Amino acid sequence: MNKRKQIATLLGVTLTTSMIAACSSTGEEGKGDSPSKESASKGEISITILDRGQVASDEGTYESNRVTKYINEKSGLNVKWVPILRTQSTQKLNTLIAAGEAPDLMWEFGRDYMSTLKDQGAIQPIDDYIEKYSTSYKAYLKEHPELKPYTMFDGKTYIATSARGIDTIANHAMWIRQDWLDKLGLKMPTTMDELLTVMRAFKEKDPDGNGKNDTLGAAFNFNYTGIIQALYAAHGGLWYLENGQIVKGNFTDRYTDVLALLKTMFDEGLVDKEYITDKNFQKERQLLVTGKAGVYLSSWNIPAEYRELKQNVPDAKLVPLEPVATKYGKFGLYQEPPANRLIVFNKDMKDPKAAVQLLDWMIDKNWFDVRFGQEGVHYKMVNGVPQAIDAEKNKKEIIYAPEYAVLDQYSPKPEDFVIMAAQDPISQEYAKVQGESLQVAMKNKFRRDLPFNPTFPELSEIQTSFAPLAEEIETKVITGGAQYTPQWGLEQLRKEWKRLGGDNVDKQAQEWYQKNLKSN
Amino acid sequence: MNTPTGEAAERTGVSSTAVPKRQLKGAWKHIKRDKYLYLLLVPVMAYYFIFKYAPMLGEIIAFKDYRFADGIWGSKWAGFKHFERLFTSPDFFNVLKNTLLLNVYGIVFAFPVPIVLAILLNEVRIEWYKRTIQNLLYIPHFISWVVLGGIVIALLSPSTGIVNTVIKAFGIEPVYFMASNFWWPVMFILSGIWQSAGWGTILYLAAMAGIDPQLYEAAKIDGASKLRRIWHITLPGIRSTIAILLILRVGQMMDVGFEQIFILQNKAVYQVSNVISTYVYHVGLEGSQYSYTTALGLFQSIIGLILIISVNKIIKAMGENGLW
Amino acid sequence: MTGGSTGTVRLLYGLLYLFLAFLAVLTLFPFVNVLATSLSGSRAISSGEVFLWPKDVTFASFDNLIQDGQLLVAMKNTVLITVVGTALNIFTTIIAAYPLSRKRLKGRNLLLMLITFTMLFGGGLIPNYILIKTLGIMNTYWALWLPALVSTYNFFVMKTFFENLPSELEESAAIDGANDLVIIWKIILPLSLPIIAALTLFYAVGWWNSYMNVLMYITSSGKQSLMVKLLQMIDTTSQSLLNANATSGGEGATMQTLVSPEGIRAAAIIISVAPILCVYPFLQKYFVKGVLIGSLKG
Repeated sequence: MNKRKQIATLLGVTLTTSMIAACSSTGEEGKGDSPSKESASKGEISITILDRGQVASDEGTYESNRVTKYINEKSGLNVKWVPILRTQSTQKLNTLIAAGEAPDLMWEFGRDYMSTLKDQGAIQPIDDYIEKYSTSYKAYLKEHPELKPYTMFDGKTYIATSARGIDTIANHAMWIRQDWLDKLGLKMPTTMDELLTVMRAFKEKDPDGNGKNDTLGAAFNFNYTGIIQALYAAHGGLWYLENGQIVKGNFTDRYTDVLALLKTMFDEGLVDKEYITDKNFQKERQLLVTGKAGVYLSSWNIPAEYRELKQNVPDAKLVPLEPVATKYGKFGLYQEPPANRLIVFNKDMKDPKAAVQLLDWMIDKNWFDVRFGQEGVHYKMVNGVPQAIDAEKNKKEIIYAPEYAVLDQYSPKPEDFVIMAAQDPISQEYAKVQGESLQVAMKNKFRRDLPFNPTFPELSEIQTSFAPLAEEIETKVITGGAQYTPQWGLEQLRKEWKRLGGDNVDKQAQEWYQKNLKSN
Repeated sequence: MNTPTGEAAERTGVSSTAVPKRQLKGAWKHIKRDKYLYLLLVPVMAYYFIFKYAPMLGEIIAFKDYRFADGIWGSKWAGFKHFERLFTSPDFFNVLKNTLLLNVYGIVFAFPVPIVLAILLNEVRIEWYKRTIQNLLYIPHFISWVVLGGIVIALLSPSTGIVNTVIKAFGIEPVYFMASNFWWPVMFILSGIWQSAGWGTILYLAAMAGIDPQLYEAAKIDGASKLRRIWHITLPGIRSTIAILLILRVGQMMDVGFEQIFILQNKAVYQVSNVISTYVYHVGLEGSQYSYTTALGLFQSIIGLILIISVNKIIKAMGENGLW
Repeated sequence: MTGGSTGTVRLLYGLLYLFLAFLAVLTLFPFVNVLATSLSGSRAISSGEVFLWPKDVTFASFDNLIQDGQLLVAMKNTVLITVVGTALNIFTTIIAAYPLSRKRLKGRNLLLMLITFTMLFGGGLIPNYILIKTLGIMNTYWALWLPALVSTYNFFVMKTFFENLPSELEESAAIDGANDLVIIWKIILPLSLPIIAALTLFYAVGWWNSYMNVLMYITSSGKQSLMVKLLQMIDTTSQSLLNANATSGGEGATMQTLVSPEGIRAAAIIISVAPILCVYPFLQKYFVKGVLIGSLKG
């Protein structure tokens, strides 16, 4: 009897106090919403921001912190930032749009997503607004004609964007253990055949000198196949121009060579034979940092991997490896298209003038202050490059700032890294290597015949069905032994594509090309 | 014992009067008799109507070409277009087959495991030992598949995994389990058991706690062995729990959890590992195909409903209480 | 006595205990691995050196999560969400399950069918979002509690349990003049402690791990739940490790760094699981036999 009463009272009290707590927090929310009177004359604009969880609680929140206050103060606008968590960001954005709650300005990376927004009727063309209201941004666009194709759909401008700095254009890259080359008396490879010879030597000749047959030719991250494909100018996800027609990368004849190389590397044991079950490429990364792999195919910027390798093998010399030439020529590895964040205007936007004002203000020079903070507080200028005064302070106060510079003109030079890095020896050492890596990554151009891929519903549909089949075929070729040749693989790929209705899709792709890009 | 009268009589179905009442008056009388019960149900049904049935109207977009700008009501009608696309999609039957197959394996092999475990646990005499083991068995339920998957793959590695090390010691060739179309489903089910069997014992243990200990005492005195006691007392005691959980499990046949599949699958085993949830994920990557995925969801729901009604009928025919 | 000699019985028991211990070790193993990872340095984790024991022991992963203060706020939020949510759930589930477990209730089958239907059919994310918006509870915890008031699965489990309670109890109470409410309070509930304990655990764990609904309906950074915050921090760590330069506040190549996303993830799991491990033993004592006896006598 007593116990029941006790439990009941406990439950009751907890419930009541909790509900009061819940209700009062709701009340607070209500109060915060009403805008203050003075800002009534300022233009109002709402815009999304990716919430990466980097705003420490004593810095504020993503809606209100030192940077947002600075922007509101200096821009003469009342900017409301709507945080969208980075995980599932497009889903959240879609839901907001569907419920009629999306902010005035939205941005994402990825043109295909913007294309769907346009088809869904969620965004509006902005040519008139730029024409009528813009000053700095309009001028900026004139200086950067390469951005034009990325901003347009069907002849109208829908997207506002700025150019990526070279540090975000560079993406895929290869690395090699120079100390192993030296130990085995080998030269830096410049052709694919030389690279294969080097990898074989790495595997067989015990370059780490421990007497065990435990070294591999190469390790990699998720960029593996992309890198091989780029070397042969046959990137599976891109369309290439051949005799006035566009062909998808994995149907070109060159793709046979891609499959052949992947197969060779597997068959000869130059790579770990269990990489297909290596989710997130953890084991591969382990092979590199424990000093068991001689070549690493991944990204141009690998600070953590570099550090861990040096911690395990202090004498290791990891240097950038320039893309090697194949019988088709020398091609650069994957680089991002020049457009950075793609900003779109909500169809129901109330104050387009304020929106354009924000864009103008940002692109002008204010992006720098937004991004780097205050001179003398967060950085001092050294040879025209900002250098941290107090790295710890910046970890808290600056780490989230670049997010807010939705348009910017930031592009570091390779020499800048040394100035911007922390002062400890390993960071400085890496900064030098990083600069070299960036140079090498930008040295050879990534072959991109079309600025962007065709998009139409039949293509998306066939790709959803085709992708898993293609992976299966390719895996069979690569790991299945002698009976599955690369030629067989390519035939199968073409066959499956056809079977799924690929002929019709190819025809439509040609029409798309004629319509959208040929004329430009 | 006296014949009960009045309200009590109505409740237990025993009445001293033999005259049947008129339908309408009878119904009203029932409501009056059970007025508190109906009262309690009012908020419950309100909940179901507001939060379940109202949004259900959104299923309509399976028959429309949904666009954000047009909203749910304004979007154009598309009839059965999306369903046609679904049924003619080349992956569809394979994906459906895998979903059903993996679920059938799950029901046949994984469903009984918590029951057996619960019975074993129930037999433990030493209280602290029982509690400790219980506390340990359910822990994997809380570890996300991102971590568990990595462990499973590492354990099964042909070169460095412990399972293959043991196999090699017996002189057999190591097996690349996770890349094999045959072994992958096996490992999928086994790892699923590893993760959730412990957690699954909780309901059965709760049900066993409700079995009268006197029944066990009586059986012991009558000379029944341990096994017979389990068979004739424990199992019947949890029979209805098993029945309801089985029905509910079958209701989930059209679905296989996304995370486990996504983490464990790889390029070599797409044929056997692609299920509806991963298919939806790939479709979703192509962007904003709400009508299509809703049509697929509707299809899943209809088949699920048919399954659940059928199993419910079967279970009831076997003498158990079903869902209704 | 039992049908075998004391020796055989002892042997069988011994085997049983051993077998259970073996299973416990099997299921404990991933947890030990996660614990070890959470206390290890990034280099050791990346180099595959951590198995059952931490290497390069450090509290850096935990510090990284705790030191910000955002995590503490998220944890407080989650406690609130869990306690109120679970209380609402148990209350509603009971008032739903008991009436519908009485076969005499007119319209019972219809209502049960209606409820079953909702287990399979739903509108999807967008209609639910619009509903929450229309009700004006967006960005409040009511947007989490109300749509999840009853778990139909748990409801059916409880209903089955109530159906199996001996009817004599209810009948004798009815004869004594008790109405349904009194019966529930005085008889049904005390007998149902095991199942209430089990469902409390299920509901509480569900709330504790809430992720998707918080992501969709809670927009203020200060109101996020534990899971959302933890997953976000794992993500943030991967990002900041890519950034090698001090000017932008990154972590990349400096030797100071001992954190890695895997280490953070492991620490996050420990933080989110530990409270549940503490709560379960309290609920275990309700899974004890003989709860029924007292009421039969009373």
